[in-house]
Amino acid sequence: MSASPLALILEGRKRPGRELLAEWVRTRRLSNSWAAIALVVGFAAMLGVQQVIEPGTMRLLSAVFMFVALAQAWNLIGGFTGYASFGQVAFFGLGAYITAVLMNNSHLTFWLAMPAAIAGGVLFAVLIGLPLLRLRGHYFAIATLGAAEGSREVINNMTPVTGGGLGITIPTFGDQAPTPYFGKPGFYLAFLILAALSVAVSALLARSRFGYAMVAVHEDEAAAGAVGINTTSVKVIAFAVSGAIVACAGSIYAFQQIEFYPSDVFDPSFTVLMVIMVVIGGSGSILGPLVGAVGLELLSQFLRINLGSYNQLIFGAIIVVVVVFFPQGVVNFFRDAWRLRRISLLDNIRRYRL
Amino acid sequence: MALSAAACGGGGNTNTSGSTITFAAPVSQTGAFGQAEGLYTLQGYKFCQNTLNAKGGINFGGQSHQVTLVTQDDQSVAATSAQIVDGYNDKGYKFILSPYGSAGTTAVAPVVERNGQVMLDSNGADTAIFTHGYKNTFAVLSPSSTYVTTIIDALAALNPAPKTVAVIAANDGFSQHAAEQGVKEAQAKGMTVVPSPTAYTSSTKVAANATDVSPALIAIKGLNPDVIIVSAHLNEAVAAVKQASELGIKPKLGFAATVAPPTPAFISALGKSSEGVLGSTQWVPEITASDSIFGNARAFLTNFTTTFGWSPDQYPYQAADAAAACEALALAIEKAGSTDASAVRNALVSLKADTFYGHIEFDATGMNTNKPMYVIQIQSSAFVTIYPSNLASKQATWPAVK
Repeated sequence: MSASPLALILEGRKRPGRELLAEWVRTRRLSNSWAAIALVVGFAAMLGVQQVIEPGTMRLLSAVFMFVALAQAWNLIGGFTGYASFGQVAFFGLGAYITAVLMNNSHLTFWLAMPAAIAGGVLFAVLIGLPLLRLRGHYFAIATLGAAEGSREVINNMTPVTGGGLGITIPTFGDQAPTPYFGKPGFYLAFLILAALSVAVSALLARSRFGYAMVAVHEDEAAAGAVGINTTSVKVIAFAVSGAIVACAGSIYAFQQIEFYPSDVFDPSFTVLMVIMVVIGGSGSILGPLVGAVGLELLSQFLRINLGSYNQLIFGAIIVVVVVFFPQGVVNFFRDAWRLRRISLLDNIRRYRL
Repeated sequence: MALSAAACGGGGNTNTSGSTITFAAPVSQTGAFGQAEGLYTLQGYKFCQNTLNAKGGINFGGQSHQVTLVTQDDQSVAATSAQIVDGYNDKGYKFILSPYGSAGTTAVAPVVERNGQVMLDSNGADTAIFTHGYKNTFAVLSPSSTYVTTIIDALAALNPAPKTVAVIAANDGFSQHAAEQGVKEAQAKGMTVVPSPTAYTSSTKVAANATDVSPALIAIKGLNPDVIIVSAHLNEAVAAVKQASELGIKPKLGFAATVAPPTPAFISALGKSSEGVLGSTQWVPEITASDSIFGNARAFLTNFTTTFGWSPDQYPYQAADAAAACEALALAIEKAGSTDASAVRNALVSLKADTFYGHIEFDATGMNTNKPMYVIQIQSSAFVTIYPSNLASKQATWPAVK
């Protein structure tokens, strides 16, 4: 497999950039470019879709795009690296609050507040990642859950700055607005770009030496360390990139919502959805979280709109059934089936000894 | 219906039937409010729709228009409420009835404003909703600032009146704003607030929707207040009464709470422990108020509770709020003589209506500020109105704590 320019740089080859770019262009084939082509085509298609749908549908699809980004972000740390974080919503809430506080209290524009939110996400990831990523398995999951609950309580009680439980409002009406409100078409575009970037970043990382390092940490951390991988920095970088994407999503979400409370943006169900989307779609792949996020978010909206008070029950039941029949994720199931030329759920059940 | 001559009962309506008018509402059928508050609101909207249509619908331009209620579950998530209302706008639904609660209403208000929809707020009482200059949101219910002050006024009128009160408040906008005004009122009535007047922002503040409020109770243990007031929602109030007895904390005179006591769920959660608890409420059936759609307040209670199988002793006042919001919207459409959203908005601005819910008239911010609040006490598992005294159906059992 030929490597992307980013991958080559990450691998640290000391060659001039122009030469690297030339080699990259020369080695382009359909076989190694289809993913990038698919991403560009998908992006263009969603831009086309935007032209024919109503604004309210744009809002619904904005939520789908947001979950694509969130699922990709969780997959970096939980899927590739194998550290199942149950606290990614902390980055979401933090991104939302950094944005709202800067726009409301300091009257900064969104274009300054959003980068600040991303920086805040990275910083927080490094701060809590260094101690917490020493834990493994259940202990890591519980510690991240605690970190998320704790950060919500901090925001909840910093009333003079954040408004605490009274909520916070981003000024968006009249000349009070530091940045004009995007409106539904604007947020559709913002979340679409975020989703596309998160898929691209995940794909580039996955194909790089760093991607193999993440998988190595997942498979056997001690062995990865023994072959010279700096496991601490791999884990922290994966956690930080994931945190940056989630914080950026939180930032845009905050601006879209205008008014919100800590319980809205630190809602643990965001984390749970990220995990379910990745697991059902297929963890440790690029397509898996994408399929999981699009499929589950659309399904959840469809059930909510059509089933009234039973919608969450049915949604839960569907998740259980899918996890039982596709324990390796829908995407991984079909990929294996394609390779083995056998599509049989019974095989699947036997293979995983259900 | 109402304003026209057809008020004689609906049967005499000679108007031809016109197009139906859609009222659209995000409602909480699942999630935190799904089992109680959200259900009460939804039943209020449904009852209003059915009663309106039975009485001949909304009449203008020589035509009578039936009302169709469209709802979607918001899973008790504010962002989903907002998303639903945006979806309604795509379908041309300009008349919105609010979701349950301040958080959902807060999220929907800016959406309604941008889309040029009109929202009648039935259950979002937080005063913060009305501080942003929104022009398209109108609330029939009394604002959060009156929830605890009414309790204080009722307590001051009791014999013996409490000398010390403790205020436990949830960390949400509605409960904090209610507690803030309540503490001021208590001090104005010469009561001492323990452990301190600002404790509701620190030591006696509890997480919103918390099912464990013991830290706040421990903060007042040993101070022996005459009354413990809980400014919160259902979960916190239930937890406060339950845990106080577990921790051996007993107010000398009794408990009071906002929102929770006048709901059937409070009595079913606490059983005998709910006896004697005071609660502030938006509506009681004793008020002398009536209209041609629902009849008087007592008739509303009878018909509503019969329709949905509630005991008339344990009626959810949230449903009355919801029906009143729906009624105000219908009256405004009839007054505007049009289904144009901006014409209806203008009709709401100048609306002056006497209904089963009391007088409805909005101030410049969209609040129905002149509407009074009431206080009930739970006696033998029934809501008994005790304040104001002219509406009191029975004497308060006081002290409520034996």
